[in-house]
Amino acid sequence: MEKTENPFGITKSVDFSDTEINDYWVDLQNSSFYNIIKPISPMPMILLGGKGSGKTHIVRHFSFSTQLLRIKKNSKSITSGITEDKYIGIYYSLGGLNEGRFSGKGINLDIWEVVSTYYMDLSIAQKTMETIIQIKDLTDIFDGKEECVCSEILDLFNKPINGLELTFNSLNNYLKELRKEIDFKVNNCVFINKLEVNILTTRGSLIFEIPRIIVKSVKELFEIKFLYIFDELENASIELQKYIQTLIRERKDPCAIKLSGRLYSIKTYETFCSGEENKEGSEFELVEIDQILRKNTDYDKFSENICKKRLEKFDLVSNDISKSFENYTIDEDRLKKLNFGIDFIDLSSKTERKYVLKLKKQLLKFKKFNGEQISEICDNLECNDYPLIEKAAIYLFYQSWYKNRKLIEESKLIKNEVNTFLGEDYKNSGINKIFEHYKSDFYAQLLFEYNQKQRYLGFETFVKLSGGLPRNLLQILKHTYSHSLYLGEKPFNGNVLSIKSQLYGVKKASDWFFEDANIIGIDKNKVKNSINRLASFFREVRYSDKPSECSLIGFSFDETSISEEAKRIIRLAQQWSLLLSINSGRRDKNSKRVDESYQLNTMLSPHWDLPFSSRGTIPLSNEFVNSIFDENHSKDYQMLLNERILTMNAPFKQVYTSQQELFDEGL
Amino acid sequence: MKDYRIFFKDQLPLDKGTWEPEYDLFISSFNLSDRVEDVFSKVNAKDKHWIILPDYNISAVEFPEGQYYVSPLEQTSVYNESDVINDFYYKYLSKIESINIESKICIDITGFIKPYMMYLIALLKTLGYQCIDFIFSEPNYYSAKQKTKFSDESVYEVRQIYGFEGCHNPDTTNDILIIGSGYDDQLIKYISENKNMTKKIQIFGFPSLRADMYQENILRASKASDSIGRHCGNNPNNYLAAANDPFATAQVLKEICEIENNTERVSNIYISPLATKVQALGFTLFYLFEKDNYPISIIYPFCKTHSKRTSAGISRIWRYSIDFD
Repeated sequence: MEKTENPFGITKSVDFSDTEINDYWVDLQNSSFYNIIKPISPMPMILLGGKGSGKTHIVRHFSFSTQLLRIKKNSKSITSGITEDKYIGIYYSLGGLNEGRFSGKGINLDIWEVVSTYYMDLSIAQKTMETIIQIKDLTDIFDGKEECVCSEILDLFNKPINGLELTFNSLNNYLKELRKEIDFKVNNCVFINKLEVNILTTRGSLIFEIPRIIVKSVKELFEIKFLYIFDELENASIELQKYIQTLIRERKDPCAIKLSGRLYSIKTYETFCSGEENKEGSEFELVEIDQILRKNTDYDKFSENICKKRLEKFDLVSNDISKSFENYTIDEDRLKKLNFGIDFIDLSSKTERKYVLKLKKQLLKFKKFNGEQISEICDNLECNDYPLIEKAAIYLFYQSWYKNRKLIEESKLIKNEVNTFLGEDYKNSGINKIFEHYKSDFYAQLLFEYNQKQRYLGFETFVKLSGGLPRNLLQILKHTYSHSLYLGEKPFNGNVLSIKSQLYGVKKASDWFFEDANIIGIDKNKVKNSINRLASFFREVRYSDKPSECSLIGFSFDETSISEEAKRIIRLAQQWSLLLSINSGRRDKNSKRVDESYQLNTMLSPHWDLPFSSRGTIPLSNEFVNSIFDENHSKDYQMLLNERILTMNAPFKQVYTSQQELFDEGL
Repeated sequence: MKDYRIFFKDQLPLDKGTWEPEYDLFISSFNLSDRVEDVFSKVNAKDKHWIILPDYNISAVEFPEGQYYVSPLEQTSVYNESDVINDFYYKYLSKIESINIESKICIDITGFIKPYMMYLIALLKTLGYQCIDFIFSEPNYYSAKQKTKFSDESVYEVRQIYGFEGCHNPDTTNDILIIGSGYDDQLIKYISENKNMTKKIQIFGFPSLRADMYQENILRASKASDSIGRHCGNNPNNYLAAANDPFATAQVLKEICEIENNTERVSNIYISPLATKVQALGFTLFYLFEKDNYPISIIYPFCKTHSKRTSAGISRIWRYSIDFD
């Protein structure tokens, strides 16, 4: 029977069962997630990542339920498995708390604070007890100790709890009852405007003391850390985050704390300890998972392993993934190689090329040359056998035009450059230098001029497009694979993923990435419109006659001079992974000031036909940045864009909005 | 557990002057759609009252004839369904001397915004009101067909509806989210993303209010497939319930919960009514009857503004009778 199930169909780890979390686990080669997460380190950690960075998969890997499956799989005893791991992971999804109900309803804020923190204590304690019950049921390490442990735990309550059987189960049921009672009161207070809850424990005592009592009482667990993992931090309100920050500040052995959430998760560092704030490096370590993946030289291999794992699970061929992607053959011949992928131009045809026709029209309109001179110029720039060389020659010509040089003479010089490039001494030709930077842009322009779709092909390109977020890669592969099946191909089963499927998959995934940026609140459209303006600008540059930068999806600006609203929208776009911060920053040519630098997430590139890897960074004036990111200034965008683009399109009317830009253009 | 099929529903005549029986109190939420005013005039009640919700941003010149309560809350201020409805009940309705928990009450849910409608029902039930009739009128057509915007779609918050918060478990390993999927794929996305870690199950309205609505509904909902994840398009996770029958909806919810719980004990259940108000009424009933049996709550994506005129004419009018006893 033919396989129709998509190995890349599941793109979210939340859809994985605990078994699948282990089955699909892939580690970094040159580092390991264990070393990044450091589960037994007493230093609390906040792990942030963009949507699809794999953070939930990573933290769930350290939860007790997956830990237990690994121990069983390795045929170890539960006790020795835990002692070897040195931790017991207690995974807690903050999204399941629904803590929005602990506010309003005519109840005083102070009361909510006390009730909600008590409720959290009970919930986490219940989760801890459930894990302990699991261990008790699987081992004998609690034999003869359960009663004593329960008794000590009950001492944590500030009133005697009578009549309770001293077993973990009855203690857990008691915690459950207390919690349900609060649920009931919280639900009903909205109807009666009254909330009275008896607080029976001191904040945090259940969370830190239950583990302490356990490790003290059970010698096998003496060196074990109770690893509290709080996931989905973005779903926690400021009040709840204050509580969690307080736990971080008041952490006690044998507990370790790790928080995980999206880049925009953190709403406060404040604690309930006299309002003091936790500080990175002092109270916690901050780790950004997508930065780690993006900078990791091993990301390509890591991505490949993720895919291999899935293909293996579906009994598909995974030996050499790259070869499973149809692409244009790469010939070893230096010049012939230039023509691969240019199947849309008939090289033997005498019809004038579109870009040559365009140049002729521009020169005619310029009114400085007669027909004969124009023909002479175009003949000098001609390289009929190699459209890319011809594009490079025309680009050099546009550069001369921009610099107001004598164009007929310049075209003759360029002809020499072309001839040099075609010969043995090609490395010294101007064409070669231009190719080092602009070859992919020239190819993109050719595709554009001949109404072809931009080509984002091959596994390596997909990895680059994913921008350090594994889910992006899986999204591209998911759509590519399903389209491939639709076309009747049998990919990874002796056949390749066709170019057609790849083009479809990339476009679909890119559109999804942009459309799926579900930003809660009124800022959604502001952020999306801003990204649209920015990407449209990059597009205009890329397809201009003389792009000022090659492979442009990056920009820099002086953050101190833009509006607060523009700063805010840029920050939001970054938090939603639509923009990526380029840490190095760019030094302004004149003031030597280090400007903020960002690039568009490469995943968005196909949405606007932009390059899949960033090379250039363009400095933008404050006015232009404001017009892109601040709706109050967006009315100026088109004018500023036109001014900027005029300098990149023949006849290169040079309009400078500021002296700054004049210098930026290198004049 | 309850068998929701025993509840009574009937269709009211469009042409008749007034309908039987006579109610002690009739409540309707005012907006500019024809249907709400037509029903208001036809219902036979000793006391008829409009509530004017702040979300519709209705100006004084547009206020209806008859007795009405205008929420003093400004659309731009911070408020929620309990603020508005508590004020409406405690500062307005409860002052009507002839009204008590024995009174025969009828509510037209057509013009209500869902969270207000749901909270009002929960409040009345909590206060001891036993028997309430609900009316819903189907329009001849929605003003922009399937492209009709019922809200500005700018979701500012996803949370539980007050009074529907349930008792949940800290264990989240087998949480399920049951979505009453409507036309708005964005709302489906918001809800799915908010309860990211749940198994998603969708209920579609079938038979739909109008013949073409079901297909359109499925097409629109498919746009949210990536947020729904693994369970999208998986037939066993899609259910159908008549779009104009709250009892059928409640019955399907009951079946889903039983099936899921029998397969593997469900840790938490979230339900979210994103389709018709009738469906939301079904979700409301299910919650109010089952909240002690399941760790369940109702979650909703809240939008700031809602269109005050979305439809024209009336095609059918339904009455649903509920006894909370």
